[in-house]
Amino acid sequence: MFKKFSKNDITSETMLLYENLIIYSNSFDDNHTRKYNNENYYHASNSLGYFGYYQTIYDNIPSIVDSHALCDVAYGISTASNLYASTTVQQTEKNNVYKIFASMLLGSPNERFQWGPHYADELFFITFKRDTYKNKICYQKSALWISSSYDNVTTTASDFCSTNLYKSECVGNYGALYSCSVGYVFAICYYDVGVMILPTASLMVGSGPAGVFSGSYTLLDILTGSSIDSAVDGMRNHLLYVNINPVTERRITTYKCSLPDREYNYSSNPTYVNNDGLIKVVSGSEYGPCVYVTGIAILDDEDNILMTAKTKPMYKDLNTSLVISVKSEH
Amino acid sequence: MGYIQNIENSAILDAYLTDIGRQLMSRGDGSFKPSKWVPFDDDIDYSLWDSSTPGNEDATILTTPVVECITNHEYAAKHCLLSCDVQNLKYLPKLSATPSELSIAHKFLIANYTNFIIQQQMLDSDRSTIPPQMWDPAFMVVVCDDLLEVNGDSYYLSSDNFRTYVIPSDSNQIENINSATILIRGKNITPSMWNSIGHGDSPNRHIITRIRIIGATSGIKTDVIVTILENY
Repeated sequence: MFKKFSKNDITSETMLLYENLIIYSNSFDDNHTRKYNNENYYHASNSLGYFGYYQTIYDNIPSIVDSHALCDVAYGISTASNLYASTTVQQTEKNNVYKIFASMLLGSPNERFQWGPHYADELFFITFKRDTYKNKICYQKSALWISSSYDNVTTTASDFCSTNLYKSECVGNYGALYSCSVGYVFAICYYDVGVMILPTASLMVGSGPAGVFSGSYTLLDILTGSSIDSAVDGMRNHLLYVNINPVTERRITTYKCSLPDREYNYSSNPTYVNNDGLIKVVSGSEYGPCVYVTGIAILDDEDNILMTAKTKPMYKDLNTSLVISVKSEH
Repeated sequence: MGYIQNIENSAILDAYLTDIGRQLMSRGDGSFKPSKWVPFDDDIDYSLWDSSTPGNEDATILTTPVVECITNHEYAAKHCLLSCDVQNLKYLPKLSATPSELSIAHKFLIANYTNFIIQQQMLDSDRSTIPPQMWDPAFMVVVCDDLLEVNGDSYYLSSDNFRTYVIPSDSNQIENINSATILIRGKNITPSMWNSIGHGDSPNRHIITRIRIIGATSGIKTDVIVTILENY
């Protein structure tokens, strides 16, 4: 009754499934954000000044059951920054955030983020949730729109035209989101771990006096004299559009089941015969049995049915051979 | 449905793990080892075959809905397709039980083995020989484990408490008949079980249960109905 798989009957391949995810500015507003107190507990009042180390952005109001967390946003500063000494609020915490990401992305908490000759010592970190970026972010498909804190000019940065894909020893591939109009790197995306880092310089495009960044304060005021919460609040107000392409890796195993014309032409289905065992179903003028295949069961050596696959009825008789490929995805 | 494409004589289908498949895969110890397969036709009612419409006999069969994969492995593939070297069989071997119905007092059933005979044979006018590929060397006997036990090797206990025994066919076969003797015995039925599944009024209640016999090779089935009487 059962047929053994031969070595050539089972094949495996990897398939990549690409999606397109856009987070618009409304997802970065206060209603879609969950803030935490200084012990990283969520505080229902959602008011400013609770000194959390990061904020979580949702695709809906966080208290709604079907809302999903999209990413966390944090701010950190290196001790090598010119602003470090003048940072008066949460200096240690901001440095801890920087060190944690340096440790994870660069391999050491004492490393500094660097792009070309420039160090990036004051950074915003966007950490995408696993359900958001799936297995990894697709290279050359990410984009950002940011409004400057100086004159609110909107700058677009992307990795579309970047030909440079770099490989880190710690976290796999990363690349730059480059603004052609401004002429420098606006963000770095770590594709395999779903992290995007944005230097504060990305918010300083334009000319003229420094505008309001958050509340009634300038970017410099916020970075030095306010909490991480306030810095992230300002960052959210200037994020207009984030576009990534999450990639899902699927491992597909195909089991090839061949039903030659001379096999599987009878059925143990009780309706197949009458009370005397006479087969009810015959094909053609010459007496020949036929059946209708509706599925394939795949078993192990202990006769456990591990998987099944079903189809619309497929006709099978002495003159018909069928090849059914059963695909299993993991 | 796992149906992706179905071009003439080929199809690509999506597989769905059964409960036991998922359990074995989650162990992560290599115990998930697909090794063989069998086609089945669970959704087909062959009595819908209409021989009065030549060339269009299977119109109803082909348009009947097919349900999705069942993930409970015990019901995932009930009616398997069979191969046979004889290509123009008019009859398939039948399984029959003698007697096909039993009515036994509970006290007697506990104290004694009761037997019935299973016979596999061709029922055509010539009583021809069973094709070798459909001859069953053993029979699977499935009973409700709360009520009955079978004198034989227990093979499997399902999650809904049906136990399967494997009973080899008799070594001394009568010509063209493959047979086996099944010995069953009753289990103690508690008053609460009588209250919950007994029919009629105490103390003259009865419980009806079904013994299913399946040919180990042919997959052909038959049932024996057993009525257990409370107070005789």
